[in-house]
Amino acid sequence: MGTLKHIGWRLVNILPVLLIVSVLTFLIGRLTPGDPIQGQYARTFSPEQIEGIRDAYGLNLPLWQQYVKWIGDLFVAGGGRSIVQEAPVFDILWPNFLNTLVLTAAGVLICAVVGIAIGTVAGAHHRRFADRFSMLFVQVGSNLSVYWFGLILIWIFALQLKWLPVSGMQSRGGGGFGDLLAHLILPGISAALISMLVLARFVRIGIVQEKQSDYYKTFASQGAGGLSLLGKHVGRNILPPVVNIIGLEIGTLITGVLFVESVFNWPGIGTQLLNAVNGKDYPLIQGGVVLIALCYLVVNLVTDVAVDALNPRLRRR
Amino acid sequence: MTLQVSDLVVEFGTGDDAVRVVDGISFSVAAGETFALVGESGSGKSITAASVLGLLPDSARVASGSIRLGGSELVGLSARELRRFRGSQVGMVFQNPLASLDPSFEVGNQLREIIGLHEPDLPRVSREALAVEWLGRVGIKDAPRVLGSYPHELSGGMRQRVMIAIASLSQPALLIADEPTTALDAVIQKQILDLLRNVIRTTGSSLFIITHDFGVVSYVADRVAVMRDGRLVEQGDREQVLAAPQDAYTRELIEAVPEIGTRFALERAGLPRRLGVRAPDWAVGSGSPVDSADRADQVGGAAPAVPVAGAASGVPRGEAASARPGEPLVVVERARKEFVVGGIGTGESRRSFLAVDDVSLEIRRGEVFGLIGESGSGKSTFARLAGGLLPLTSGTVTFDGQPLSALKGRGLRALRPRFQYVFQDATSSLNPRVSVGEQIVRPLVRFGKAPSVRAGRARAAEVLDLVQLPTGTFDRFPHELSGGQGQRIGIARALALEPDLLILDEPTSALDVSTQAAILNLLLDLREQLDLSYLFIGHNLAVIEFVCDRIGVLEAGRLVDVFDAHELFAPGRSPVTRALLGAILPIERSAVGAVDGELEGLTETTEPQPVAG
Repeated sequence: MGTLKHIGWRLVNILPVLLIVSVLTFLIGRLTPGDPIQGQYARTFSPEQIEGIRDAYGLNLPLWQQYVKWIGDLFVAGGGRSIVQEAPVFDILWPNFLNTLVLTAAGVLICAVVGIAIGTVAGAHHRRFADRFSMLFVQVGSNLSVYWFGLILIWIFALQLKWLPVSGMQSRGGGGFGDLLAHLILPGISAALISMLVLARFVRIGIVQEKQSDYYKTFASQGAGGLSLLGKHVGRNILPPVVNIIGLEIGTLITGVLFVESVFNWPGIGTQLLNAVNGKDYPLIQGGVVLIALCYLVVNLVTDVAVDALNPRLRRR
Repeated sequence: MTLQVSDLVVEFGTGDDAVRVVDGISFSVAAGETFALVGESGSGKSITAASVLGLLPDSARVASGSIRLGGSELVGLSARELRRFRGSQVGMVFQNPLASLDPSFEVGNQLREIIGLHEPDLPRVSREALAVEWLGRVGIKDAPRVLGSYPHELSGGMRQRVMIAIASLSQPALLIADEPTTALDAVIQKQILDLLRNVIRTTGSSLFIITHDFGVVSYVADRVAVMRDGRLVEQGDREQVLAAPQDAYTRELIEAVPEIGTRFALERAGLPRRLGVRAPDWAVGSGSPVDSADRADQVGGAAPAVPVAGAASGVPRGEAASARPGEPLVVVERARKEFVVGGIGTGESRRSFLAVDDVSLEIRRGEVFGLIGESGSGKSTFARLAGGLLPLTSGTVTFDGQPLSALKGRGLRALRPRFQYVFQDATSSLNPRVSVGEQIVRPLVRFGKAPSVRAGRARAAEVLDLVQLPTGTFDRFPHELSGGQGQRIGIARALALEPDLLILDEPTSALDVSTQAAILNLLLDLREQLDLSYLFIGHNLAVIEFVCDRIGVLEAGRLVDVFDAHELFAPGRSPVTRALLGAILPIERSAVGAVDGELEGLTETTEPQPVAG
């Protein structure tokens, strides 16, 4: 009961955050120079005609009225109509947003699995060769840029070795699930790189610290072996911080994915948003940002609830 | 011999940078014997214990020497081979019971796992039964509840009982206990020591106990070794080491321990009340006064024995009497402090608990008022209330006639320099990035006590001299100081403002015995030189009795007893006071031997549950 109540409270707390996000998104769009109608039709129509179109899109209304109208559109009109593409915003964004989610999910999976693996090897061999070697790898990797790393991956694995496809999400004519997986590997790794290495550091230091803790000594003093100690006790005790870091890193990952999409020509929301910004397509920018913000909030909520659930001190009241 | 350690050398680091922390020590522990290794922090005693189990930190290694357990050489064994000995032949109890169980698993799960390490073929049901049986043996009555609890749901004493069960359930030949009671309250300490004695009696194990406390040595040990800077300076039978120590360092350590009644013995001998000074008339006495008085008390309130009887029956009180009932400096009336957790917005229901419950007392000018209580009794909260660091829920605090609890802003600020705090952990109460000298100067300038920074520096040099630190200390940073030096800086900082009252919150609890003695002596010196009053918070009755003129006893936020130091043994003391008194472990200097026979504390009945979950 306590947990449900707690989750309920967290959901309520999301509302003011969403309100602030919506206001900021709205204002940032409007306060930067440029105008969608001018940009698109300045050569085609006379100034009077353009004013007419602006009226039709409600762009001449006072700012607060535009904001209220947009909030209403979010709920009933699919986020308003895109000025450039002339269709409801969410209809345009949705398929690509799903593609972005697929790539993000692949990134998170790679980040978690590889990050924890590197961290565990390093932590378990603290100050020995395996530790120093993997930390060198982490050190170098953390300084790579996502763009450059993605291009190098393409060059090695797609162009030279020809093991994996160069870009896109599906081979021409579609190729089923295996084909999708093959297309996911390279962009997934590029997107996950930085977060994966951050996670590896945390896992490593977590293991080193837990190994110095008193309970570790208790079990070691009773003859418990290295692996069962590491797997059961250390693993369980570093789980909450690991979940926390993964939750935080998903945020970073989503941002990274938007860049990776352009390198790998992935049909995600990133390319669309880029075009929308260039064309000053307010409703589309706003709709996209709100979608991404919502993702952040949901991930945060899930992370917090999971971390609380893992803490025995919070389990019973 | 159960354990034979010969010429053991342990080093941190390798090659030319190697630091020897254990430097060629030899000792042995016979079957069924209790052997105590005594030393101050940094002496290498815990490293010695860890090397027996092969559980040294990564950077340390046994450089040479031999450790033989029941005839088998342990030095040079691989980790895998060592693992066979751990648990089955050596069990270990660690200092901090709060951290020595895995916080993420229920106690039952951990006990079953450890039983499984020793008897892999035992089915789950039998493991459970064995766990219940052992919890019974360590005095835990409601085993099912404890097995289903997470460690944080148990008190420190309970957790230490569980640890003892874990360490002994395989009935090892040797039980190592590294400061097993240092983190516990006095009353619980005695129960745990009794339990250890009882457990080794039933399992037939030898006990190798590491401690810094000669009271513990006196209570449990058969033989003693004293360690300093990695070497053994002395070893021998308990009676011999305690009654006639051969080495000067041993003597110094024993004499640094405050004992009940010492101050009155010193007074009668016309000696100053300082630790390390020994009154001739009782050095040869049979047992310390607390013990005889304590026993007399238990027998049925018979008149306490000599040293105390003098004070209680109206013989002139000397120094204690000179703490004339001066005018009250601090008057606390009906102070209450309620803490609230949870409430709207947190998703938790609102709960509250009373940390200080209707406490009234006064601290007179020139006196040392001691406040004692177990952990969680509210003594530190009271210290904060008395100095206006925390707002009262209700009640009043008056300082030198001014209503402290009603003052705000400028008025409170004007009063602040007149009462200053000294905290338990001196180093962490200092800013790590500012030199200690500057930290003395800043409040001086801020409170307008020094017209310029230059004048402030001059004053800082004065107070550094007052606390017996060299002038060069001014430019040091907190991490460069030892515990004792840090505490001296804490005192210097407080004194610089020329306060009337020092609020000392466990100022010596984290210090070694000899450092504690030096700090207590310093505080007694300063009080005479500067005409100060102290509010001295502590949990060690022997320290409080030695330093304080009047003593208040707190229990669960309530003041249950207030009395003059010389009336400690008078009839009518509260049960809490008597329990604190009974928990003191006196240093037995006679050959009579420690309290033998009936052991107390085999059940957890008197043990409080932790406050709030």
